[in-house]
Amino acid sequence: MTAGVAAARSPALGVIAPFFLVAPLGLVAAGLLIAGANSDSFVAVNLPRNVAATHGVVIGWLTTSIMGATYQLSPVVMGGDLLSVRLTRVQLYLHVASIALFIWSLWEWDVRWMGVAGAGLYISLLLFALNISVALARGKSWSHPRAFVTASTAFLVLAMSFGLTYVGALQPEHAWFGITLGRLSAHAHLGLVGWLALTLMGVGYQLIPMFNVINRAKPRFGWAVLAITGAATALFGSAMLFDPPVEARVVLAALLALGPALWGIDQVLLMRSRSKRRVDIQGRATYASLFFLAAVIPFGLAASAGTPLTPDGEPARWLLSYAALGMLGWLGSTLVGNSYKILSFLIWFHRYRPLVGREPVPVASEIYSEGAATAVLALNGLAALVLALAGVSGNIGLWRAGGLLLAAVGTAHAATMLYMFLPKKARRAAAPIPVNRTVPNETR
Amino acid sequence: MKPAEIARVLSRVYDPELGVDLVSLGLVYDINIEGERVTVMMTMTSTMCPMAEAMLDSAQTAISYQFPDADVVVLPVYDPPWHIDMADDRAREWLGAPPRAVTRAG
Repeated sequence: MTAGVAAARSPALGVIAPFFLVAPLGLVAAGLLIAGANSDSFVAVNLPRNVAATHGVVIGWLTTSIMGATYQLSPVVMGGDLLSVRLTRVQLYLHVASIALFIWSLWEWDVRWMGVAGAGLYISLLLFALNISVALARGKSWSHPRAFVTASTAFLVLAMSFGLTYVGALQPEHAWFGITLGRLSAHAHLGLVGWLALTLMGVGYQLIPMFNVINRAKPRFGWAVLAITGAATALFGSAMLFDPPVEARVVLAALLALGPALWGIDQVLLMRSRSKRRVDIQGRATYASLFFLAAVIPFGLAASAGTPLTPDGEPARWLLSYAALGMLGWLGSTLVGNSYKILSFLIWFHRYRPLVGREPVPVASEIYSEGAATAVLALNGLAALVLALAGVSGNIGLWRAGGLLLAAVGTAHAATMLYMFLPKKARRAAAPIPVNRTVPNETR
Repeated sequence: MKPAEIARVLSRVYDPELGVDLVSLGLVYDINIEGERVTVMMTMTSTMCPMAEAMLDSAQTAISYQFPDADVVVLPVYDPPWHIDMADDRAREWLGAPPRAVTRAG
């Protein structure tokens, strides 16, 4: 079920755009960290450099972009006005400062500064959740995006609470409990599936039909995807705290994969019935994300099996490949595609809409470069594949090359987003006007 | 002021997302002129079109700009719902849809 759209509620361009512009720096940081990886990077996922790079991608890039998108979409398609627009700016400043410090402290494994930065991030995300919750509460009906984002916001708070507790446990004077691989997995999946995947899947139910002009087919599994994914994530997050045996891990992983798999089937069926047959960046990103979703599910199941399927001595390899396919391939492709559409819409709405009818104005697709956007999407997919292949093969040189590619993706993504703010000419609107134009009842 | 002139003005207003003008897309259902009052009934490609309000406003602004004395009303209509078959061949080509089949009488 999709929601009606109230574009006039869209927050100002200056509020939303900074989230999209600063987010790719997280990719650059993660890419550079991976490019400088030591030869022992495949030994454990929780090596300082691996943890720093992962958080650069997840909180630096994915979460910051999604926060911007949610601030834009919540008032427009999900609910009502935000609690405070000023609060979004304060939250962004706090978030950027905290994530920069957090990535550095993880890299240096300075647990004191990890605590400071982690607390800053926690406050930032609580402020985000508060602002969004008010907008969501003002909604009148339960559309897919509103329901998914409501659930995902709860998982965000949960994932961050786990994370902050772990940082607390790392402090020498605390040492409350050991941070096992199972507990790391619980935290990671509450964030990756509960927060990021649920948000992107829910918003996908709105944006994919909207941008591809799908007005006859309806989603079949929307509510089932939410119920299954929500329940499976909660169960996975709870059970993994106790480091269950391999059989239980595989069952939990299969349950976790079921919702996204149904979502993928839904999107394939929707895309098949689109009226807009010409595929643009959003359509390409949808197909790319579906490809990576199909790849990440078997990798996730294999990774959950652990030692039997992972090479001895380097148990992190499958997990790192799984992370690359999921975070960069599935979630990242979706985000790349939607970033260009959301930001170009905002720029058009605030800059060109007042001029329509008075002078030729560019259409939204003229605000970004389709070719450059597609190149960024392709580069992102290549980086995901190279990193996944490096993990599978255990080739550290390939892993470093994937890191350089990732840094290039972040740089190119930021540059192409900045390009959107340059003034554009109206090419489509300047086309010759047909003289014998008719409409059904014009002879009245 | 004739309906064809209004249609000509609307053919210069583009759906900012799809990059096709409102008339070619088949979004304009009716143009009614009574004295200085111009009433345009138009639809959207979808009830959740993100540009719906913008397109209604744009159509009104464009007509008012060309005909300053006109009293312009642009109303959204969702019945019948828009379908790709309502678009002309130029719009269909731009959207990547095949041209409409030509039916021959007799």
